[in-house]
Amino acid sequence: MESLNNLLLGFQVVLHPANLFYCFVGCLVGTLVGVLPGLGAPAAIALLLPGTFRMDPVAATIMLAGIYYGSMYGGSTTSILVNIPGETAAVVTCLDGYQMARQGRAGPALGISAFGSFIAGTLSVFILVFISPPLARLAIQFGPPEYFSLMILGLTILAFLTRGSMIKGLIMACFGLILGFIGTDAISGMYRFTFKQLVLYDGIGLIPVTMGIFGISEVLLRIEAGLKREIFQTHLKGLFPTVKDWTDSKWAILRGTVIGFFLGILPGGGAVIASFTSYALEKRLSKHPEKFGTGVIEGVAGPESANNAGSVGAFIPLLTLGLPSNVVTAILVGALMIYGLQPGPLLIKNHPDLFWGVISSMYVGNVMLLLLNLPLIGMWVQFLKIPYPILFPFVLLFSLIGCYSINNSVAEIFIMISFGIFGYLMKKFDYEGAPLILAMVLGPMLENALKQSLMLSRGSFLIFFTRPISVILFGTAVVLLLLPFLGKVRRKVAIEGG
Amino acid sequence: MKSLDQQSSFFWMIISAAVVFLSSKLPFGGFVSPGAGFLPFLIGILMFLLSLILFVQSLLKGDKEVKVLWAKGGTGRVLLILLSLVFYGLFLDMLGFILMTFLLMSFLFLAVGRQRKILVIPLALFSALGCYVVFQVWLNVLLPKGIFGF
Repeated sequence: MESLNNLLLGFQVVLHPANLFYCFVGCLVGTLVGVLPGLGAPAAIALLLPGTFRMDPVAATIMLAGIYYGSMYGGSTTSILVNIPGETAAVVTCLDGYQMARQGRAGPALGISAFGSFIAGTLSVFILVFISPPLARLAIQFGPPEYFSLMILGLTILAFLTRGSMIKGLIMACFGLILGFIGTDAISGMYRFTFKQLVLYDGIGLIPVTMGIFGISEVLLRIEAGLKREIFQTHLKGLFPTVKDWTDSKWAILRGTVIGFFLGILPGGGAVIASFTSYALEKRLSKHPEKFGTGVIEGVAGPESANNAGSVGAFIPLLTLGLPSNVVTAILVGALMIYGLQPGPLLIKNHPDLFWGVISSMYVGNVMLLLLNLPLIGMWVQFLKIPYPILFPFVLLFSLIGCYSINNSVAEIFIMISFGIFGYLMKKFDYEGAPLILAMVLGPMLENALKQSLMLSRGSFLIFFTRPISVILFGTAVVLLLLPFLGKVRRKVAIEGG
Repeated sequence: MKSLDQQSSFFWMIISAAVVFLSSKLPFGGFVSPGAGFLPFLIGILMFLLSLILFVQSLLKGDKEVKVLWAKGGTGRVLLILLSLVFYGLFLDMLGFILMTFLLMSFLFLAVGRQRKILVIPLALFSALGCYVVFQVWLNVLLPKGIFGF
């Protein structure tokens, strides 16, 4: 009953015309950046963030959240029609979605992707409503050692899930932490790694770093690779899936929702791993696994539901613990702090309008996205046809303006360009940016939690191993760190054993 | 050092050594009351160890992968774009938003987009003026006016 009352409060907030408008803008921009390769949700949110500083925090957060889950809807369109994922979470949709389009079934693929996303988004919001208040109450019992262990677990999970080498993921996380330390030390007031440069006294901004690594570097790589792309010519008809399509997809959608939501909650998890896990599960459970990759509708329905549910689930650690679980929520933590709000367990008590308003906006946003994505699919396809030679100069220009407008300083532009070059090289050498950004946001929080824990325990590290929640979190992190090593040992033993 | 991992791990070893060196100049404090250099120092050491592991791993693998890092022709375009962005940052305050944006977009449309010259000027002018209206007039973002006052 309490949850329903809270949800009602949330709907009162989101149905205010101004909030409704910003929710719509968020969904629209989200779909657009999802459709356009080269500009993902992190770069788009970072770009628009300075423009929200003068807005009401509730409206601003509703809009930024809309961009995030909206991009999940849009990302599938390019996967299905162009075989280029607009978002990383839509990579797996290419496998069967594009094959369906080649067989003349682009309509049902786009349709099931939108309906699946809608169903998953809606169900996830309901789970979120009921799970958030008890989690926030539990989170109040978290002390500095639990927070420290949770942040270590989050970084470990992200490094563990990083494509390729886990060591590289951990190196990026370390570098992100060091970037987070730049500036004034919160406790002693000393300057660290500032090299007497005024621009570094307040630390390196998250926005120029994010835009450099996720925006500029992406444009540079695509320009280097050549600007040609093929859009699969197909007539979009029959967007509504048939009864057989629904029969084939219904369980995939439901399974995708559950997997996506709970993987989304995990710090370091999120929509990307959710979509891959859902695809793997559907393939394993299927009666015809050999057909996966040739255009089966479950291969689209499951991952698309999972990535949307994952994007909703990612809001749980953000809203209840104040901890980001992925790059986008890391930027949102920064945004909430700029608005003068303290993300964490007290957010639900001190700012119920924001907490419940954002949650309810996700439901309203999902309805808007369904309406935006199905009847207007033709319009999004036209956006897909914007040639790169026109699109990329604008992406670069918007990034420059977005960075400059943070402090009206060209120094931010140079920071962005530097991280653009860094991101470009990083991708060439097979490093991923997500652990770096998450660690950069967590750096100062992690340091404070460590210092407070050590002060509490009078300098004993045992404090992390004597409190039950902390032990569990730390233990999980250690197991994850050892898993790749254990796997290698087991393989070696198996080989030697014949 | 042919392997990409060997090259990158060497780079990270240098960075982490620098972090350790700079942190050592900050107060370390003690376990009861850690100072400003405490965690950066530890993270620097951890990062050095991780880089060392990556280096040794790629040595043990005999990793000598040959990968084309730089695309022919493409890398030149990338350098040109980066230079244009740097120039934009250098002269933005002096020459103002509209003029610099016009110049940058003209260059990008020509160098990246290879648009027809007849299209470049109207497109660049539209971009500069359009962004000025959206950001300065509508969103109240303060854009630099420069010595010409626009």
